[in-house]
Amino acid sequence: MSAITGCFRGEWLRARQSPSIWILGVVLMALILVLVYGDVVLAISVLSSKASAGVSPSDIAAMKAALYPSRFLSSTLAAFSGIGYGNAVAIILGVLVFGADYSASTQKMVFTQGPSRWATLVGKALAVALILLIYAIAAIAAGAAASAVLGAAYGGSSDWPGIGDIIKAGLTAWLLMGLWAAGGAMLVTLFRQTAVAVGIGIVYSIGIEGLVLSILRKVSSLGDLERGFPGANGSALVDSFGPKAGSAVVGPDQATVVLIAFLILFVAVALGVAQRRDVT
Amino acid sequence: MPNPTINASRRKAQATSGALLVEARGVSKTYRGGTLAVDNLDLEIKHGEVYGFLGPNGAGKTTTIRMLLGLIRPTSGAATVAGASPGSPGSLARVGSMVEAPAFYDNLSGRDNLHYCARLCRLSDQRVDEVLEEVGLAARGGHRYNAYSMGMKQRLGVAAALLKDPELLILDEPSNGLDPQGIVEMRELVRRLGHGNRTVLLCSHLLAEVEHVCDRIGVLQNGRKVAEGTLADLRGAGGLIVRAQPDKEVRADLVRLLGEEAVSERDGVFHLAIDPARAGEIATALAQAGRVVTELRAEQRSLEDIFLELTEESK
Repeated sequence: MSAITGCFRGEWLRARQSPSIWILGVVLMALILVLVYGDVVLAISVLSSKASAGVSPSDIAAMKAALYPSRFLSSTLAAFSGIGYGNAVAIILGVLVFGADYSASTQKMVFTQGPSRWATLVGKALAVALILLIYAIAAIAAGAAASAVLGAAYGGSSDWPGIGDIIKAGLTAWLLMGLWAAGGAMLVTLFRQTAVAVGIGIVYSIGIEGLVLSILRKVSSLGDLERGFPGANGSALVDSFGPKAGSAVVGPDQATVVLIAFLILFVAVALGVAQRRDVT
Repeated sequence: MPNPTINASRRKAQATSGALLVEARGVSKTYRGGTLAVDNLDLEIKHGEVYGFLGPNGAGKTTTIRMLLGLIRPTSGAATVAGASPGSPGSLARVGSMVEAPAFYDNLSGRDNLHYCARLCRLSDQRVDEVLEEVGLAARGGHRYNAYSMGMKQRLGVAAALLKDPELLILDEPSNGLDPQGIVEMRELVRRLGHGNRTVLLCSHLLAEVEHVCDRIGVLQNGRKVAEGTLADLRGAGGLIVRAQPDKEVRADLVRLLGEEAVSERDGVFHLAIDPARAGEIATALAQAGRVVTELRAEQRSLEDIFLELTEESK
């Protein structure tokens, strides 16, 4: 265990001084504020001023309600649902941390220091987990701050979700980012090239799974396969926090189990390949 | 930087009495695609000795070193390094290494790169300052790695290898890419590191470096060890060099005295494959025959001569 602790401390030292990791966190916060909250504020502003045909005051009220503190968890978690950009950020983070040694050729240096490869890689994984925990807490805090400001601005309800729900939402964001970061780590371990890993990971998360699912839904006998995809289960877990709760393809408990299983699978593949492969 | 010399006699005493720190038996490595990089290599390095690994590019030196560090799995054969299997925590805890060009994180300072290594090895930060001092980088330790010159990067690589104060130090081409001044400095550094009780495996293209630093030398060619021994062993018994006039008559005299196979001539100089102790006998014979001897000395082959001869022979 102490070998893993040493590896984690080393990796954390490196992560702390890596600007890209913290820039990525700032980008995530900015995306949440701009694309989740800013986008809706802009839409409300445009629709209200034009009094567009077909847009009723109740539609605008519903849009505003999504910004109020009572709904901030589901609004914020939308960043991690389906093709959420939070997933893309997590993939990039996993690739950055696990792929740095491929692009900098530092793997031979890391693997000859003393700890086993397994301990070294687990140390990296723990560092990624801590970074993502910070991202998740910051994301929830950013969403709460935006909701508080906009709720006050629009004169909406100032009811907040319970602390238990807030913690659950934070853990959900952490799990979803962990899943996609593990996917990024697995891809960069398999391909040993950061650009290829980021490309494939993002294309999968925002495109390929959606295409496959749309095909599966058209074939009734294959429809149940949707329940086994990481993106679909991620969306189902996020939906459980909002007004769509109960309408998702799977329940939150099953989604959590499937996501954890995928996370373990991705980490196991990354560790297994890195453990056995020659460092040339 | 201090300029100590190697205490060769002390090391040799330990080497002859010491246990094996590196032992490889029948180690081979075939890469995907069928390239045979190392072929049935046996290697023994004794505690306290400085062992030089020589060979042309592609001879299998770096592959061998990577196998000894557990970075590459051998296709066949077995090895123990510092009493444990290569690459295991038990082995790596006693081995410091620099394989080919040093590689560190660009965005960290030299000191922080060593802090990173120290955390992996669970060593104190104080040790980092000690090794930076040892390689002469203490004043530049706070500078970013990507601002380092090639020589500084090589020194940082050596510093990282020294962090654990290892029993076995493996240095693969430590002078690669250095300018002449850097090569001289690195040679002095390697000499100093080889001082005392530490065992060093030095892999180098620079024959002078190996010649001056190493107790024993192994020569690799096409993945096979083609020679091994002390420099004196590799030089062999040597011979005699004779320059005398007139050429044709001198040649006839020498052939009559020593036989055709012991006499060769290149550029007007006769090379005699005989015990150098027979110099007096040759001088007397040529003088009695009325030849004018302008040079007569024992032939001292340089490591370069030996290396080129061995690698040419085994092509």
